[in-house]
Amino acid sequence: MIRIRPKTRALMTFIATRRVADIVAGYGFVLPALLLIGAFVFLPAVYGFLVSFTRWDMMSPTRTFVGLSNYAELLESSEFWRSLAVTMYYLVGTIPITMALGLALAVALNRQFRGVTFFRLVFYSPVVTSTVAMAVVWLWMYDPINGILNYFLLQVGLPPQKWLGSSATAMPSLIAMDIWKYVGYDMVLYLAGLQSIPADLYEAVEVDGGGRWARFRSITWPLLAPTTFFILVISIINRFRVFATVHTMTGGGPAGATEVIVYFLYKQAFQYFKVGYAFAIAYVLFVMIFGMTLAQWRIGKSVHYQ
Amino acid sequence: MRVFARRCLSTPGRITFAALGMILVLLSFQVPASGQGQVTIAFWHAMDGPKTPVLIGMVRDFAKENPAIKVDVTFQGDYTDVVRKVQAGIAANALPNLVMLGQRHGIPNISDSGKLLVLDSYVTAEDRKDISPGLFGRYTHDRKVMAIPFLISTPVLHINASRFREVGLAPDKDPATWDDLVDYAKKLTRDVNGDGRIDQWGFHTHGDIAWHVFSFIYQNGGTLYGRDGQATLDSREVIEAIQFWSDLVHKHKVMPALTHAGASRLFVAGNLGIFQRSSAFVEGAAAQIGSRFDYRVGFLPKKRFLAVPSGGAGLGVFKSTPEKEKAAIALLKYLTGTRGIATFSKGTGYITFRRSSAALPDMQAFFADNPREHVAAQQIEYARTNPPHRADGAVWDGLENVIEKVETDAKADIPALLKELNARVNREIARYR
Repeated sequence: MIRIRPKTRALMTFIATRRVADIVAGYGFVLPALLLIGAFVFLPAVYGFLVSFTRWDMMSPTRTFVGLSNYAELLESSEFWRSLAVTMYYLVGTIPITMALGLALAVALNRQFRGVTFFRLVFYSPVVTSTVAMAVVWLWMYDPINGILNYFLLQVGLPPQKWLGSSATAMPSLIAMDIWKYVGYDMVLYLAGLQSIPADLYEAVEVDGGGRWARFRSITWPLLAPTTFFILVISIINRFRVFATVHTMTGGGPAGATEVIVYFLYKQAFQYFKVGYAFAIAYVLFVMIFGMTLAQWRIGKSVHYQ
Repeated sequence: MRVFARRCLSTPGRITFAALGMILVLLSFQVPASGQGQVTIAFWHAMDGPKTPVLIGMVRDFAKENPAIKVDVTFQGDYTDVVRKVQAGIAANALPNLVMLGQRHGIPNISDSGKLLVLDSYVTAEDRKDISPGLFGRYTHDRKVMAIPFLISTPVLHINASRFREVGLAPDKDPATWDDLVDYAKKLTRDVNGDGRIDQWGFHTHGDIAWHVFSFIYQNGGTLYGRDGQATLDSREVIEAIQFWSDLVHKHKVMPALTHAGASRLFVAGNLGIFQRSSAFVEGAAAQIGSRFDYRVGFLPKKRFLAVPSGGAGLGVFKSTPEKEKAAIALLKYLTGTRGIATFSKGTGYITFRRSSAALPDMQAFFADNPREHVAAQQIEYARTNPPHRADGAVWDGLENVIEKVETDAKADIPALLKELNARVNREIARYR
């Protein structure tokens, strides 16, 4: 046995009983991830917040402090409000339809038949496909002169559309593409939700003489409420961040009809070199999404089953 | 699984993890390797597509002639991507030595960072005589030369001479004036198969709309900014140019609205008579058209002047150590010298903008064999551009917006739109110095 001095032994006992080693190990395991998130998320966020009070183009060595004037400029800027309205249009256009279609698909594919996995795969594959690659293909499909969509319209005697070339149809075109891309995501989440509903609840409805619609209305839909709530929150957060499709397909046009808020931010930072202003936009966006999520959480509390 | 977890959490396990972690962190620090007495410089460029090997080949030839210099060449995306990466590079202090800077926007802003080397002392009097001042001016900021022109293009008219013949136009005559352009385009716009829809269009431009609008503005004698640095986008000349554009779509109906992205395909398929696009498109067009129709290249029309905007990029040098700057300047001179520009032009279709390069016997022979390439080399003499301005990005974006509104709406109030744009641009100019 090694002879240990009483004080040292007391210290070792202290460490052992308070499980300090465990605590240190715990933090040690988390440290790499913490460092990464700290370096790539928190630090830039704090830095960006500070820069939002300056006028800077990210290149010149001097940064001019301008207080709240970036935020004031934002609130007075008609382009900012328009980009917000465009983003809202996008949200309202995509989310309800994607969720409804996702639910319908989930209900339809929530059973065992030969090929069900194939169908689930088919509907989910757009979700994992590269957004930019898809955007390029859809650009060709939407081409007003050579595109396949107009070709089909002409075949059935309907007038060809301008799709991305008209302010009226550009956003609906992007919305259609987004729905196609993400319906599989909602479907998979709803499938998981559906499969957690115990089968005997359905039997109870059948015994009471209810048909398929009664089953849906009284069992499926209420028990899916947590899933619906979750999908809604995630969808809103994700759709607010749309950028790649706009950048690849329309460049915010025509005449700003598809200039969503993140694209507006991008242009301010990299075309107008107003980096402080862009950070101010980013923070306003953050506050809005945070506020919306918070509001949903409050409403959502009543949604979960007691 | 539980036994494994317990083993990991034991003292020897934790020590192992800590050691692994430290090794990983150390590995992430890379030590660059460099030969004895060699200088390594980094070159960022924005060339992609089939022409890139020409640039890479030239850099390689330079390296062969200069064994003490090693060049790391990196493709960084398009001109806007390069500007973005420079922005990030300035903040992170990770800049290349030689960089390709697009003339469209960004040069004044990058210059103001103080990181670009002023090139005045490296430009000789011969250089100034050799390069058209209108072109050189595009790379001069605050009266200092910040980049040397390298990859230069102008818009040209890509012409379907077969269609010209079919509708009774002389196949080798360019539309000389705006009126000629309307006249030719009207004849070329027709419904070939009688289904009530137009199948062949008379005139169209490529998707870099603002650049083509500039050509009409300059031809009409207008400018984007006045001598005081304020925007002049609501001047009479600019209004008339935009009105002409609107008339092409709505009054004369020779240009389909808002389909610029597909215009190249339309032309290559033979369904567009006159197509305005960069001179850099010539080789690609010829390859895609093959023998489908007679393809020739024509000059832009004039209104008050024959004037063309310049496009493309120049090469700039970032400040660093004296050896690296010297090496970068050596590469710069190699690429942009008389021989360099000739080699580059021949291989890529970008313009032989140096008069000495165009006069070289092998270039003259090249032009004789390739008359299409000669048009832009002659047109560059009429380059008329504003010096780069901090608000160029805003002007480009704003004008594109105005054009999109104008093409969509025949009744758009052009003077009002331009007045609003002008006020907005001037507000930005005032805010940002």
